[in-house]
Amino acid sequence: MFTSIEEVQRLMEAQSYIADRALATTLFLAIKLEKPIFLEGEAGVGKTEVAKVLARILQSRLIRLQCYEGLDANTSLYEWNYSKQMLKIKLEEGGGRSRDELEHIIFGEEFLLKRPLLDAIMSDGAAPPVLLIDEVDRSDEEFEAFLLEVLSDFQITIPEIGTIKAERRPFVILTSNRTREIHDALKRRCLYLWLDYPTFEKEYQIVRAKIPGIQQALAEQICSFMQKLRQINFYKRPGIAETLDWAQALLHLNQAGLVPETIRDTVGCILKYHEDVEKFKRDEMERVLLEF
Amino acid sequence: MATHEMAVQSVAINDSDGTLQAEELVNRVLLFGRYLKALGFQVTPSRMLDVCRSLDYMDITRRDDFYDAARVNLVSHRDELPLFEEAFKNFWEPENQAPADLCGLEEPAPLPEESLYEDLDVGESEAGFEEVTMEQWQPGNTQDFLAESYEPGWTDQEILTSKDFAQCDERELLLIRRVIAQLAPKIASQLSRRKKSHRRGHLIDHRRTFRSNLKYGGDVLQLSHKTRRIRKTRLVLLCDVSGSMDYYSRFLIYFLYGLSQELKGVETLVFSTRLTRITDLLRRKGLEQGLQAIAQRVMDWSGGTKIGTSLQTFNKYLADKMLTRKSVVIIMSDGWDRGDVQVLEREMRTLKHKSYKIIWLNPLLGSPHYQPLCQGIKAVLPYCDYFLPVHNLESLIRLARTLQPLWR
Repeated sequence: MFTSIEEVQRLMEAQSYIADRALATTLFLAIKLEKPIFLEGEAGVGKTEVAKVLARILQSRLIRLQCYEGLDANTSLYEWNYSKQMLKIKLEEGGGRSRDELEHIIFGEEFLLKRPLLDAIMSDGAAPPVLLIDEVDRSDEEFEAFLLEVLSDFQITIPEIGTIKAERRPFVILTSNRTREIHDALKRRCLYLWLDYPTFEKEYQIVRAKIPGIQQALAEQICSFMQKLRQINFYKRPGIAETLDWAQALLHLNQAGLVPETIRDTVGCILKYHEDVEKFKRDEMERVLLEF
Repeated sequence: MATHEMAVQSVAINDSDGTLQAEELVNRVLLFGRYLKALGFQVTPSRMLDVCRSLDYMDITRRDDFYDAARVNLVSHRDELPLFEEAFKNFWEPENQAPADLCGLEEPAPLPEESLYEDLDVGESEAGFEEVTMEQWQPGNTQDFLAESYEPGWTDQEILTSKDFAQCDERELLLIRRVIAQLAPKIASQLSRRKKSHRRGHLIDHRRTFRSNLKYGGDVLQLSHKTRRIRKTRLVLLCDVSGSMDYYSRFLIYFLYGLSQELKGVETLVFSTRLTRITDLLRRKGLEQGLQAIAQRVMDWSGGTKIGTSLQTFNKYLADKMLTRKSVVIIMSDGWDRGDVQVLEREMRTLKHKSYKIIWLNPLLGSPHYQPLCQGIKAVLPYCDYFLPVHNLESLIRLARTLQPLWR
């Protein structure tokens, strides 16, 4: 599939994702070793994007499982389509089918609602799908344990049908914002990578790649402003997603450079907590601008 | 051993002389694994096998690639990263040798523990790690390091005293435990988002309904119901043992002890100028010995109060390990904070985000004339879900009666 780390890096760049070598190495190894990747990092550093880009590169399907508290096996694996089953039984009434026959029909694949995990296991496209298990830190411990089981052998048992095993292992990417620690047993099965905030150079490249219309001067100013902003102790520091939003906003406002008024008006693009915005306007803005 | 041989077969590297040194390299890699294990990393045979398999796919003369490959396979915590980097350098580049010497044959450097300590203690690595000592990076050692006191920087202001808990009133303790037995289930359970079937539940359980009605040929004659499950909460107790709390400290210790014995998975920490974890001591059977050990470990009993910085320490180093979003945090303090009120407020906000409910138990509330006027209390009030008195047995009984289960 891939022959070298450079190739991964190049392909990702072609999809306008600027990956540093560590990330490219991780992806490369994950594909070679057939291991899931565990991406951890602050919100907005491009964790989810990795999966999307990978799916595009491999030209395969992206199956996404968004985690939340209380997510359980039924909602992530499969569910029977009960109403459809009921209707089928009604329609078949007096149709002369035997009970066993009918049972066989209504517990067939047609009546199975595939949720993301089963979907990934049963997928039969040209390339194995990319399974994105997003924000796994939001789910609870019970689900983690369940996930561990699925990820270890990629097979599940549905009592009515039997055991289903993935013909090809999907590429699995788990992401976490680290709002809580994920159990080691799960992490141990994965290649672990901590995604940090980007350096100035990397962020600049990203802005240029993602927003083609932006001028060099503005892009530089935005990036160095963001670098300074991240050194301040906010409750939630802005990520790359915020940088891109902001750059996009400034572009639409026809700004050629950063001026205090515009920053003040558009600060909602980069800081998402009221306290942070207040703190920025009160204490930090002038200081950051002074250093320009 | 099979593992080992497999790895050997899969790796073939030529060094400058063109001779095969794969086996040596694999040996070195395995030694590196042992070295990491000794440092507390979670090194397992399957992980080591994956490291070896990784080498097969890459140009291992590129130092950074080799480093990345080893790292993504063997590190699973962000906090471990600086230590891993240090260990990697120590093992593979003892004298900053060129990366080409990776397959060198010399004996691995002995565990350079002291130098590691020194390097790390300088703390020049990254912001946020300044106060972290070596032990804190070793997951295997959490128990030990948790037992240590945290804040190293407040010696000038703390009054270090040991508390004499010699007399322990058996009867009082028994009474307190009885009340706590009533109180505990209320604090420690909440409605789960998960469901279970229940005869009088208000949600319809489709799965069960369908199954049980199959016998009527598809007509729904009976509905099965489900309801939200009640789940156990994780409890973290933070107790103020500063001088101003002295009067209540015996009662509070009984309270902490009672809760720890009554409920599973309770974490207990006490603070005045520094934060000390005493969970393990309270889990022991028999309070008498536990109390002695507590008196020995908690060096700042009856010291000054720094609620803000204590909470900061907690949020920074322990919250991610001890709290889940289901956790209930109980803080017992009179709120007389000698530290910076802004710090206190900020840390309360962070704590609020990281936990499910915060209950503040204030002994001073017992006084009928008390009003929450002092700055500290004013700052924390907005972040508390409950603000209740606790100062003696009687108030505890009232607490047990008034406190509704913490259900959504």
